Amino acid sequence: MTVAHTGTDSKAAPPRPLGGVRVVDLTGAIGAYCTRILADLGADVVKVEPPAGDPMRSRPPFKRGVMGPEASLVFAAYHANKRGVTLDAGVDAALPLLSELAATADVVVVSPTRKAPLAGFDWDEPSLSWVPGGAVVVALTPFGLSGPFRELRSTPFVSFAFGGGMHHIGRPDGPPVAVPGQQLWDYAGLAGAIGALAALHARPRVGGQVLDVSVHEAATAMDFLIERYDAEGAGRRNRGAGIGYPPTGTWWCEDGALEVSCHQQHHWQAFLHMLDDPDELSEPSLNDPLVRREAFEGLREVIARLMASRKVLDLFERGQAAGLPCNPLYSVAQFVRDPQARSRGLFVEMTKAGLGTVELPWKSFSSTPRLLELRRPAPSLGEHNVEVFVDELGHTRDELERWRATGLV
Amino acid sequence: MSDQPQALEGLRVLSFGAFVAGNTAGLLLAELGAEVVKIEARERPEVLRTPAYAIGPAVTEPSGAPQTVMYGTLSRGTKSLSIDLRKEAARPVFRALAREADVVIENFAGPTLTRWGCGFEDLSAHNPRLVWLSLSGYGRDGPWANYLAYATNISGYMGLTSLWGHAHGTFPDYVTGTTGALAVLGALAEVARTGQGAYLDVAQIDAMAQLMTPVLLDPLVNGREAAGGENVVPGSWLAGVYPALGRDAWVAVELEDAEDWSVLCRVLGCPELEAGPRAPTADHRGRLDAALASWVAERTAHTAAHLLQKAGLAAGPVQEPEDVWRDPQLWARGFPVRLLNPDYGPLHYPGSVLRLNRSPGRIRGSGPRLGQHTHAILRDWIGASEADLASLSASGAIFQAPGEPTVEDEGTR
Repeated sequence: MTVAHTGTDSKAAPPRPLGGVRVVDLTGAIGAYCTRILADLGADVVKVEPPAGDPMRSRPPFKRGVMGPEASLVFAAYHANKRGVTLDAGVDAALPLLSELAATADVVVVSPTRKAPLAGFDWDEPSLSWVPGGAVVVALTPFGLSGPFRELRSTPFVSFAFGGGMHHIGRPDGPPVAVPGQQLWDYAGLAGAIGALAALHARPRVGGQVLDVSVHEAATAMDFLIERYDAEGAGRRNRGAGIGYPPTGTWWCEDGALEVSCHQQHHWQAFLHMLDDPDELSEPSLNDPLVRREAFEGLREVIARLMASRKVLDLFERGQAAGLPCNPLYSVAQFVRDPQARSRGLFVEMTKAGLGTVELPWKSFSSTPRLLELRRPAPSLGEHNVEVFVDELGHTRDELERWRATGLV
Repeated sequence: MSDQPQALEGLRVLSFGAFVAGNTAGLLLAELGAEVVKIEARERPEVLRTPAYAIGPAVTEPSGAPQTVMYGTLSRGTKSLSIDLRKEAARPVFRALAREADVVIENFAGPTLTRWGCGFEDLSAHNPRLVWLSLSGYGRDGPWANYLAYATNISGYMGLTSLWGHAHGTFPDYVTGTTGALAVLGALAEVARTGQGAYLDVAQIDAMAQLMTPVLLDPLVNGREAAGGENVVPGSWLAGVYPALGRDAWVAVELEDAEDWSVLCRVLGCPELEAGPRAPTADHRGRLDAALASWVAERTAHTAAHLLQKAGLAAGPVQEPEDVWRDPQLWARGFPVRLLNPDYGPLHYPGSVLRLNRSPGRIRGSGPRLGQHTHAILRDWIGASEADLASLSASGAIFQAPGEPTVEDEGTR
């Protein structure tokens, strides 16, 4: 593979795969990553927030020393590339404006919940009368638009518990532990974006349609939960139990820890090469992972001693050269400074009114030609009200003032 | 249901994708109606076929190829072409197939295909619309280009393991494969506009950095470590996992705001713990936490979660695989689909998450037998003659499993 195609983004002006596509985003946290990706691909995403601001605007972390609706770094990261308007989408008075917005849209992304209802949405007849038939509706909800749990409330924390991913995570003597952030919701958001792109691809043949993504289904489709239970009537894993054969795991070196994966036969040979083929581990029967598992208590001390005097990155490079999947064990702060993450361009500087210049995670992948483009920072609260409601939808500034006064926008 | 259109009908995908990430990308495209052809050499079947990855008994196909449930589920809805690119005679055949393909997927450890004259540049020269999806751990460029990683290595490198105290076993693989499918669809939109294909370099660290956004922000912007702690949710009023009646049974509860706090005080019958509009102090939170813990301890996990949900709160049982299997929500929506695998029998698999109402995602069958569709694809895609097939088979360049391909669509939603 030559350098030109090793994934470095091309420097030419990026194409916009979704240029000309309009997305109206009526979700909260659950749809934030879904619509960010559509925006990154070039779509014009209009994020509709409640007049008091999206709840994510008050979610930490904030930039040190900055207060107010623009201070949330989470909001700034998840809503880059979008425009923003305010509208109380839960009340019937919003229906005319929702309808006008939807009339300009190719994709409408929604997440009706009991806590944040959506005007014109009826759980018993899950459809949105104000969306034209030719548009693609993406509904992203914790449990889906049908079924006995459809209206249950959730958060990323609770979804992780419900979805089967949490039970085996934690110390053996402690509670199950949730993964930080909103990873499962973002994962379902990826499915929402895939479905939206597929529906746009098929639209000339199929017309508009509704995509019903359930976080719960996305979660339970992973890790063979359903297949394994059906096949074995089992699948319960003990909390804290590791996976893989020895020496898979974490080993302390002079200046940090190295994590090793030894899942295939040749990984053991690579592990030995990394350690200069030490005599203490040369017994041929150790090639058998089951033998290694049996003998491991005795080997642990030997390996720990061989590793303790070595430097992590030296072993890492030697291990990788020998074909051993391994990594230095880093803190998050070490990761964000690491040359590999930096060279992939995972973080970009953005300057946003009310926040200043900050570095945020942004790019989901590299490509040639470059398909993802950063065009604008996340919107300030109501930043595009005039642009959208007056300039584009043709209302007067007086109308906009009246809606402001009544709390509609 | 099978007469409904599919969103990606007519799209042709050649996939070398292996393990969870590589298979997931192809699986999603297959659900959407693409013809996804999974490529394996007979001498080197995908590692997930080997007994080390068996769920239930390891079985053998009539050809002698190994087969496992893990392979069958990760390649469901795809076709199998067995061609061995280590053999010179196989390479022009693959290049001819790639001229007919829209997408190639690979997650080789390095530039293996380029060495065989079957890399992106070789193929796109004859098919400029080709979209090439390359999945890897650390990426295809940078100082660690092509370095090896499993999901746990990615979790450890990115700081998630240190912060969380645990490693993601496979989640980064699913996220990466899914991000790969997304990148393919984005690239196809560009192909439709301009006719220009793309090389997509999707690394696990790219895909996961996005999902780790909330924990990357403090280190990136404020120069301090991410806030950690077991079951701490920054910004929430209360979050916890509480032991319920029974052995190893738990309930997860999160209060998002003042209204939730007040509702829980009413449910627990503790008006003295009401807080008002301002977030409570640590001590105040500790007292509600203790009251909730005592309340949950007297109930089963499902009952406690049910009562809290009835009151309007976000709460759920910490489900283990048995709970997931019995989950009424999954069955009510017809999510588990039953498919017949000729080698290990009928089994339920997850259905498609991509529920488009007019072109629904579908699971068209469990994973194929190794080489099940070799002859059919070579005939159909590049018009191979019987003589071609015979000579390629004789040289070991291709392999056709004995027997006719089994019917597709044995199980659908």
